[in-house]
Amino acid sequence: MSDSDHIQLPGGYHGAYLLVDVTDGSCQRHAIAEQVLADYLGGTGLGTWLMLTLGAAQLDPLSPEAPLAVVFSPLVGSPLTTSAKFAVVSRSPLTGFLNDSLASSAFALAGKRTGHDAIVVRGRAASPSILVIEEDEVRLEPADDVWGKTCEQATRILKDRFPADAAILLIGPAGEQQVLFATLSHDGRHAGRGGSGAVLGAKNIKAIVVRGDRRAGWHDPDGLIKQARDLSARSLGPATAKYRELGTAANLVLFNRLHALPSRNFQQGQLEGVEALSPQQLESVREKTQTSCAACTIGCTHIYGVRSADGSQHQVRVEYENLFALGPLCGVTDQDAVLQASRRCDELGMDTISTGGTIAFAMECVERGLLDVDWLQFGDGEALLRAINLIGTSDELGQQLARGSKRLAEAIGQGSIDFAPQVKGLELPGYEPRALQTMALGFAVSTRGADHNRSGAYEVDFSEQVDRRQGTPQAALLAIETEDRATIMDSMILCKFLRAALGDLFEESAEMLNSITGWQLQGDDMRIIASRIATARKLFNICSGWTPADDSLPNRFLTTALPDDPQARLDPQQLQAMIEAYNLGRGWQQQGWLDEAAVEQTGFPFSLVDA
Amino acid sequence: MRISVELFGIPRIRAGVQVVELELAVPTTLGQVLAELSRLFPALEGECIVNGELLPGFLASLRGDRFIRDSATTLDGEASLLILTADAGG
Repeated sequence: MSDSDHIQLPGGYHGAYLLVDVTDGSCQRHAIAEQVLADYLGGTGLGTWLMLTLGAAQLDPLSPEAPLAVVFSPLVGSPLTTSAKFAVVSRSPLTGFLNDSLASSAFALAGKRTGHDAIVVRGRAASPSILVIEEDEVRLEPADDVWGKTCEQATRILKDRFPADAAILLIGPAGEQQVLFATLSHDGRHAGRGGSGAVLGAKNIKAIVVRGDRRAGWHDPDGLIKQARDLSARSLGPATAKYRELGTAANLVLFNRLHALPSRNFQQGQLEGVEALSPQQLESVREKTQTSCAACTIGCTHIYGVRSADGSQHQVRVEYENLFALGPLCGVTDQDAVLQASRRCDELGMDTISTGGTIAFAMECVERGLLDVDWLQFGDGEALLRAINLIGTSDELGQQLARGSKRLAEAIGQGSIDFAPQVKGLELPGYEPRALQTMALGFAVSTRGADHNRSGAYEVDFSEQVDRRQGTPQAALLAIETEDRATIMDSMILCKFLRAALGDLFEESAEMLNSITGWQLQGDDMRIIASRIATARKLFNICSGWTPADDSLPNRFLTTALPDDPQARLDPQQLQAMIEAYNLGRGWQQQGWLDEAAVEQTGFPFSLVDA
Repeated sequence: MRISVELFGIPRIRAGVQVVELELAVPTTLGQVLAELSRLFPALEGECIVNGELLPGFLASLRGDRFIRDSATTLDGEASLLILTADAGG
């Protein structure tokens, strides 16, 4: 029995998080005040609050004391399409800053049915273990039979061990070896960026298994069902056609045409032969199936067949980001190589963007004579696979690659940091900053590092509102708007692929939340919530050691135009003006620091800044 | 004037072609180009274009440079136009 059991809860919530210490398997249920739920919602918002509350900013992310939170939301378990999502939040071992990643799967549904709004893991198990949470019962089981196994292998073994209604979130060998960009995986989907897998691996936890039957009620079930039907109908319409019919891979050919496709470690914005990786070309030569995430009507998951070197047939989920990162970014246009590389990342449990970015950087170092690995050449698919297989092993190159491009550049020196494709240590996704300059701003200021999910600034570049190759301070307010929309969707949680199907996102979000919780929110309230969460994220990063120098881009982007598009040139002073306009637009100080009034809106004390 | 129109994303799927060359009077507007595309590829009408206007969620680009949506935009001297799905989420 806990505090929350005596309090009338808003619909959609259990009103508590479970804190588990895997050192000894003990656990405590902690109530979450309704005001906190209203201020931070769930998902990445509530995760940020948890990390600040638990003092994570001052802790080594791979230490036993460091918390890792799996956070659900009031929408999980509701009939709203795309709502079966959860966030994984911690301090990132790759960046040292706040990391939150999302995954869509039935793990969200089963996890919330344990009766908690979040599950926080701390400590370090004495030996490789599986953390099992069945409502109020928590235990550790040995993981001897799955430690060292790939994500797919371990999933199969654990599904045999546990009941059918249990859900399993696990790490692959990369997480076990604490590769700094290791993922958490459930049923083939990954909470990918920032190294959450390494955090769990450092705790000697191979998997978190959840099971339960506790459901949070809804304030207005009839109203909610009506909203859900309407949203589902819109999700099947033209606003989501690109995702349903082509998948995100549709970006590849367009971006190549616009010189916005990062190629050969961001040396160019276009690559000859890249059409071979387009959805149309993939589909013309190999088997394709399509599926969707749990509780999703959009159906954006496009899966292609690939044959391994041993002749066995496999299926690989293809997204723009893994195509770009393991394809043109490494100079590779061979379909089989890219799909096999993607599959291998999934097996090992590694973020494909960081994997591709780190290897591409290494390839350029080889090209420049800064790294003595003559087989690691741009365009060589076999070399790409060989490098991936080395990551996380005892091989010297593998050990270096496992730490990401920033640390590799720091080790190599000789000015290589100028072209390491990262911001704050997180490798850039597939949007060339010089060709998409509002996105350049988004990358520079994002608290997670170079990030296209927390910042949707490319939406501004792909509009008639700006000149995508001439970033201006006026674009900063537009970038803030995209961030705030993303923050709301990531905290409620709903899939961003729905955004074009929504009218006024803030108003509609408020209506959905009101039906679930019984609150009386309006669109403006949602904007305030988004702003609060953004400031809380910044607060965490300041507590983690952020300085204004962290909000920038590598020198390559500030000193060199794209050779294939000379108009794509990013002026460093222009970028700085955009960053300052962004900070002021957020209500922060010009250089990005927070004053007392800004911190106050988060509910945390200003003394944290000085701690 | 001859305009080369490149189609990307859903417009490419609906039209079934990647590139189409149009011969139009000078000056011409974006709306006139869109109307001609709808005439040549009826599957575009109602899905990407309605009565010479781009539906929300679609953009045009002059030569791959700036993006436009206003059907009144004059394309005098423009030889290249892109029609694309606006949502670039990856």
